Amino acid sequence: MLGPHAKPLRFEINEEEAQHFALLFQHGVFIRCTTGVTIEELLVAHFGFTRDYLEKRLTTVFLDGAPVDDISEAPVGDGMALALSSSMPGLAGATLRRKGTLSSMRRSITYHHEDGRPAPVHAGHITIKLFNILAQEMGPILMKHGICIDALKLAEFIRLSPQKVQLVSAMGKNTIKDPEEFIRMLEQHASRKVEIVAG
Amino acid sequence: MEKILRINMGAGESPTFQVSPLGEFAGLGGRGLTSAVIAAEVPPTCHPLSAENKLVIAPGLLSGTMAAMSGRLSIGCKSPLTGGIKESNAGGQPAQVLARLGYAAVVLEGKPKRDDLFRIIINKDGVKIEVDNSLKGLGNYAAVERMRKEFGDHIVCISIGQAGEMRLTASSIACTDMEGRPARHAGRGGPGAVMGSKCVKMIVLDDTGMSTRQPRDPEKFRAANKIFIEGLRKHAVTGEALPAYGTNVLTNILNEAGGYPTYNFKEGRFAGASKISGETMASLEAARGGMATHGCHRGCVIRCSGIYNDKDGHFVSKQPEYETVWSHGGHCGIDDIDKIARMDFIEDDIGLDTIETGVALGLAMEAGLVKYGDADAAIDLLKEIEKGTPLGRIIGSGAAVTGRVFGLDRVPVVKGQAIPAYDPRAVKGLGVTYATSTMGADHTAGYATATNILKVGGFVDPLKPEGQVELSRNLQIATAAIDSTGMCVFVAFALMDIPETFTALIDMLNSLYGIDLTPDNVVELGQKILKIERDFNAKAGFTKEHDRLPAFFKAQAVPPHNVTFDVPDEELDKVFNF
Ligand code: SF4
Repeated sequence: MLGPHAKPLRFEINEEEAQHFALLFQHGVFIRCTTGVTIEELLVAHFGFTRDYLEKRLTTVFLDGAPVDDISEAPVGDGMALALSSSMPGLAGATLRRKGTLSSMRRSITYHHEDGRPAPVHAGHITIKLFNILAQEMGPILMKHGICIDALKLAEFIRLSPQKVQLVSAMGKNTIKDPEEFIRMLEQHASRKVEIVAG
Repeated sequence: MEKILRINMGAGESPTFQVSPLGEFAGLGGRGLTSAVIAAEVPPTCHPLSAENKLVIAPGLLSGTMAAMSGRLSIGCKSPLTGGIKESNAGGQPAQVLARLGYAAVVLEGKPKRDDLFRIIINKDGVKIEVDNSLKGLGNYAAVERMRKEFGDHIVCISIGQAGEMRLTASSIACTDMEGRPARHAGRGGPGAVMGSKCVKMIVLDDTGMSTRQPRDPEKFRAANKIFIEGLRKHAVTGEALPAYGTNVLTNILNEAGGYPTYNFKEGRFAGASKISGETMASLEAARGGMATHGCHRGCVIRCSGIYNDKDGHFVSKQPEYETVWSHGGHCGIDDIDKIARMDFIEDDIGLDTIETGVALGLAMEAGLVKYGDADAAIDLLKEIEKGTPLGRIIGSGAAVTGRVFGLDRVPVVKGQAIPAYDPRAVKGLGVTYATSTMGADHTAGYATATNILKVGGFVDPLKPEGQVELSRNLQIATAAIDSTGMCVFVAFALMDIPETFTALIDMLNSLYGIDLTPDNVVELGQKILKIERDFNAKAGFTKEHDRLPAFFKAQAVPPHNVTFDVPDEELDKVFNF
């Protein structure tokens, strides 16, 4: 999580460059948002996705690693991890699908909103992971709201990415062009977070 | 496709062959045919490597036609790994070619009395069985290359590597793909050892001069195939996720669910998962001039496979599947996708089941032989297998043997076969299938297929505790039937969700053979296959005590959910109540 006094390094990228960052979402990124609202409310009211999109595309959902069947009932509390995916192959993929006919096969790990009481609603931070097609579809929209990641994690992501030149040119603008130099700069700020905003 | 080719490798001085009509096996294909032949003709108590065992190689009912996705090959035998009946399934070109040559099955019988290695050549002119000792000790790639030089690039091969020649119980049978690479394997259960015991290194198939199988009702067949393809293309799994990322798209998902077995089933999450995920792999393939979307045989429209290159653009392996990435990845604590792809290639070349071998490598790490995460040491162990050293032969004999030799008590096997890539404590329904499948632990034995449309077992309330036992039963029945068609099991998602796609599949069978199959008949076929297989296993000595997961799944909770496998034994015993 973001520490109370942490001041993230901030980078603004062009909207059309957001697509290069799609793979970053599989590692999990921090997002500032309203917490305590349901997954559906968060994605519709805060990020602007339509209910129809969520119904059709958001078919596999995890809250703190527990598969969620009903996104209109599960509140996302401060500090929680929300992972989103499209439909997945395999028996396991079908089993993890929300409201699927095979959901009993993973009953013991399914998310349950225990007491049914609403969680306190306030501004907070959550971790969002986007997998597969959804990283490409939802990632650029989330980036408009700004995402945060540990500087070291970002450095490693860039180092391993086949798109390192595009990533660094998007973030470094004209100041830093060399990926290695950019990675070194991030490593010098090892304890800090990096905020990336597309606009 | 109405004849069986029987090759007696143990006949007199030289092997002989005989072509006969299907007879009592008429109407069967794929797994239905392999299991029926094994059950009828192989003594259940025989030694799997003895002359009494048979190796049955059968295309599916729809193979060799224009039907999309119909190129899966079934290979059946009494398994040297499990001791029970086995159907192992592979992609690649052989099913289509064998079917076009008119064979519903090739059956290897007997065992030569001499120490020669044979190759079998099958084309429109007939069958030749020849001694070719120059193939001895070659890996699959070199052996296939030699055949292509001799017979041309158009041939299709079914072969074994060094592991099969050594009759190791983790050995596979390789099938060549569209590029002529021996990269598609019937791996599970050690069928390569059975082929090796018959001293057959290579089967060369050439369908030059043969044509595509013609349906009795071509119009109806064409229309049904069109609907079938449309269903596959519009489904999110078969039209998007699998083509874009391959089966390895599951790494992130199982990891998030806490069901990704890590460090030999100690944990349910692997810190390095995103480095070896399908998303990462696909982006590397695209950037390095490989291919993220590719079919394993002609006629596949899903194309879940790919070509994995190194950073200099050179071929490393075909795109490794999820289970392969897992068994060498999280299970062994390795987060280097390049090295995992390299191991995939080495195992394809030696002719090893990548699940069984990867799990055995992880057990060697658990035993302290090499360190978790040490990919180079794992590659060295694979070289030991290739050389046939005593240590290599232990690892190449699979997880159960490796666990026993090194005195481990957490050995993830059922009926001697390694448990794949999905922790049964997190996804318990899968555990039910692992425990009760006739094949040993097998993730494809109860696939997510059209049980709802087939109405097999009636309505199942997913919220009732017995739901997962009933679901597992129904899934196993439906899967056994699909495995007879030659269809890739990945069509299952479209079958499950789009009723027209399932109807189209039945229509293709009906218009091909001029029959009147109904969904009820499909259920009956699936039940019949499972009954045959259960019966064989019972006669081979299997009891309900073999339908169990290893005890550690009940005793050791897996983080992060801290769950155990708690489906009662009495529930497991109800799976085959039909
Ligand atoms: S979907 Fe994948 S496994 Fe199935 S036939 Fe196509 S490439 Fe082969």
